[in-house]
Amino acid sequence: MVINEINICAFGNIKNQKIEFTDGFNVLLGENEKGKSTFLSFIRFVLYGFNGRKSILKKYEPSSGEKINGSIVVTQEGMTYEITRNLNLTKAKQVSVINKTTGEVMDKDFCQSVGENILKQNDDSFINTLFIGQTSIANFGDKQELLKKLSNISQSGDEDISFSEILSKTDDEILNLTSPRRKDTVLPKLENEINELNSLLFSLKKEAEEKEEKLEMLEDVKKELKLKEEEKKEYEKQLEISKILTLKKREKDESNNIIRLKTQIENTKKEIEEITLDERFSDIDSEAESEFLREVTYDFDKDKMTKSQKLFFILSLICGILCVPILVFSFMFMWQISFSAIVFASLAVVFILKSNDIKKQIDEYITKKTEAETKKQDYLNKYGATDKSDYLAKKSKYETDSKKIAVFNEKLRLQEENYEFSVKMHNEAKDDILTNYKNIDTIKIADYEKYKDVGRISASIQSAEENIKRLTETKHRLEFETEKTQKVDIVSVMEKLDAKKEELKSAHKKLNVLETFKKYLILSFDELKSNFAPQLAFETSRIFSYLTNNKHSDVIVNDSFDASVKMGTSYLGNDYLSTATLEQLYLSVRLGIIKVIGDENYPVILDDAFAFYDDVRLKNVLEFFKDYSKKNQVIVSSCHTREADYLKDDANIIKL
Amino acid sequence: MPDLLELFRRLLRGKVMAKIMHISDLHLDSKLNELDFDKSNIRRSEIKKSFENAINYAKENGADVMLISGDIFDNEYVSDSTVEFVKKVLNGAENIKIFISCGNHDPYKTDVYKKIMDGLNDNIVVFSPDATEYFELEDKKLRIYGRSFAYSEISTPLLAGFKAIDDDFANIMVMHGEVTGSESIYNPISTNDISESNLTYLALGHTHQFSQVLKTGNTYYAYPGTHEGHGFDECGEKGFIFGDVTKERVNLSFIPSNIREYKCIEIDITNFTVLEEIAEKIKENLNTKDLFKIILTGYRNENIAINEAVIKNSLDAFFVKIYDRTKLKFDFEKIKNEKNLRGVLVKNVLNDITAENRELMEQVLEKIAEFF
Repeated sequence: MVINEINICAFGNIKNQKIEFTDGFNVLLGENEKGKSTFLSFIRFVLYGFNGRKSILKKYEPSSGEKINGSIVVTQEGMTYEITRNLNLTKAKQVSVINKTTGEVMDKDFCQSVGENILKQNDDSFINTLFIGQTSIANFGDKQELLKKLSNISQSGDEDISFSEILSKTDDEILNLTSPRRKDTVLPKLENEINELNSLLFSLKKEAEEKEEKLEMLEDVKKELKLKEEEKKEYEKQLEISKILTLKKREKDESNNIIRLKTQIENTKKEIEEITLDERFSDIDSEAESEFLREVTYDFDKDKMTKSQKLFFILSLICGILCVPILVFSFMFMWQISFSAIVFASLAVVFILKSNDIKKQIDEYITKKTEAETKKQDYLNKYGATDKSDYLAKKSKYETDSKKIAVFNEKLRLQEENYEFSVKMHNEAKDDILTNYKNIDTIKIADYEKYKDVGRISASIQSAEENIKRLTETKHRLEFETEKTQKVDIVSVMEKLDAKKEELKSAHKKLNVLETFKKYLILSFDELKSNFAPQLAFETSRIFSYLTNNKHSDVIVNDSFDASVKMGTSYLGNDYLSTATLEQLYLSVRLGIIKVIGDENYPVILDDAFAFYDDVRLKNVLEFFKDYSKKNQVIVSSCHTREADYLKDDANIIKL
Repeated sequence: MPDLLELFRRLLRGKVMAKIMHISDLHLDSKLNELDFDKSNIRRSEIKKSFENAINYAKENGADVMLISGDIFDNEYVSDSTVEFVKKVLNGAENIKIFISCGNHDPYKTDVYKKIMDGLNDNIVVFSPDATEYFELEDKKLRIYGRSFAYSEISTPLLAGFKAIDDDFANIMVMHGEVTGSESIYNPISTNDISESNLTYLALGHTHQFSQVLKTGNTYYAYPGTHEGHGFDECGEKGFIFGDVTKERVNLSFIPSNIREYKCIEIDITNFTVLEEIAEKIKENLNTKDLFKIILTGYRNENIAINEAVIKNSLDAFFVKIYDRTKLKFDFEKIKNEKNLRGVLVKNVLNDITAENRELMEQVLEKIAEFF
């Protein structure tokens, strides 16, 4: 590649300046702060842009506040490109590349990585090799890219393939298999699926086992159920026997009762018959009876009255008798005395009257008394009683007897009732047996004791029924639970699991292949790295020897690009060499690298790189580059005129 | 006169001659890992159907006895419907005496047999695992011995020291086991035990390939293999053994009965330059009935990426699986001399190839070919 032209509109402190280069040796001459480094940095900027936020190129943003703007013209493989960076434009349009040979406007992809596309180097690599700054000593940036470039040393014939590309492709494939952060990564996905299937299988197996257990339980339940049903039947049979026996027993008992009651009834009847009831007492006129029973007491003393009547009669007689003498006397003697006879006569009349009255009373009494006695006698006669006490005794007997008969009748009634009841029960039992229970000949009434506890038998039946109910429920539940068909069949799951495991295995195999491949790739790359070291040492030695007038001809470079120079018997590194010598040593290393990489048609840009060189070495280095510039463009900047003076006729001197 | 006598004998023998079917290793409800979900379900159903077909064959051809030497079921998780199916099919063969010995996949003391045994007709016998039993078919002059696997492993040989009754009966033993000279956890059976057994025919089960009808001493023995392939490790025709057995004569032959066949075909694609050609070549080898495993071998043209989906798309078959065992046309021997990353890499890989890691390293080389 050749840089033909730099055209700065605004960059750093430079405004609207243009420099043209030849394809040979160019010397950019200028005093300090004239902008030599700015021009050279502009080349880097146009090719690579700001390399991140903290790019050292940021310092070239114009202090005026203008945006960076400018272009370079380069020729590469016969094509001339004009590369423009104008930060005034929108980001997408900031870089534009025109192929001036063909007139083609390069596409966006080309523009975005214009440096890489034209130089076949990235920024790091560029700064490590072609762009040699003022302080180049051991100042290698990111060496990786350089190492990669060195490893693919020219013989491969396939420049498109670089170690890093393959490594990143491999890593990508590995990550696609393994990274849990990526979507649909094979291994974690498979492992996940396998885990899920495993747990599904586990639960299905468990379910199947549970189903088996339940089926066994179901069998047991069915057996128990059958047992309980048989038990129930047995108890029911017992209950029937018990019922029959109860009936039989009743039939027998009642027929005994019937016989017993019959006798009792006869006895009672006999007892009743034995009693003769005086029917005259059956309808006693209570008035008459009370009349009869009343003790009539007369307040009448018959003897006394008779006596007093007799007395009054006598008195009357006396008085009457007396009257006669007196009267006689009176007539005889004195009439006055007749009065006394009148008194006596009145007394006699009163007494007689009194006597008559009493007599009447006595008669009356006698009549009354006789009448009453007759009545009593009649009453007694009616009941055949001799006297009152006899009557009362007879009446009392009657009453006792009739009470007795009532009791007996009641007894009889009860007995007859019982009798009828027993007959009824007996017949019922008999009918029941006849109609409801046939072939009961084997059932012996003697077994009654054994079967008589109906309560116990019924309780047993009930308990059997409860058991049957419970077992039937359990049976139904188990049947329901076991009849549920499995939603996913185990074999399919196992099949799927196996398939996934197989996939996992093959993914692991693939991973193993990739990892092994990667291992060998890195190992081989390291081997190559150690292969280029001698070549680099050889080239570096050759250049360093030239620059030092053959003073130092033995340089070694390790893969960190640390160089050591053989002095005497040992190799000495950075700490033992002078600044100038170090500068020259690392210039040699860079040129050695360029030589080994074989990017021989790229320009070498040296920004004030020879400041520390003495005249002899400067002459040597300029001679080296004079020769070098026959094949490659060389751009050297300097603040000293000595380069320009020395190269007067051999270089394009550009004065700033 | 002697001719007549011979004729009479023959007639007599014909009368006592027993027709037997010997089938084994049905592995119903087995996993079919190589197939996808739908196809594996279809195949599982076909494997059952094929068993039914075999029984129908036995019925139609007047079999007297059917011997099943174990592994009717593949595993303990056999579905209820399969159990029902087997019951139905077996019970459908009313006129055939069926003798079953359980194998290592469906040992006697598993739930499967518990499920199946109640509900089997009287003409079906499942032999006990506890002792060798026998049943006699008086009219056929046939005695059938058998013994089941109790659990999935039996290390002590069941046939060792066994001697069948020596009379005018033909003796058959139905048994699952491995005929081997060494130890086995699957009832090891030595040929010596067979020849000492006094058996007429030993109806074996365990291997899935028809063994041919073999003979040692006076005893014939055979594995019928499975009746229907279960995977690409069971390629070829499958079926059962059918024929007649008398004390004097064993006349058994293999009857292929499979619904589909597993077939493995290797195709060398070295000379093909486009994928479609390869697809065409595969197509020539296929039919719509069977299951195919196509193994592509040889060197593949650098431009061809073997894409199974593309190839399959142009094929019309029940099931095809394509294995790419091809290698890229890469001259690694030459490349290893290059002085660049590829060369060094190839050289390093080639140097490290050992017998153990060959497969891996060859794949690594394939990867190099792919990346460089």
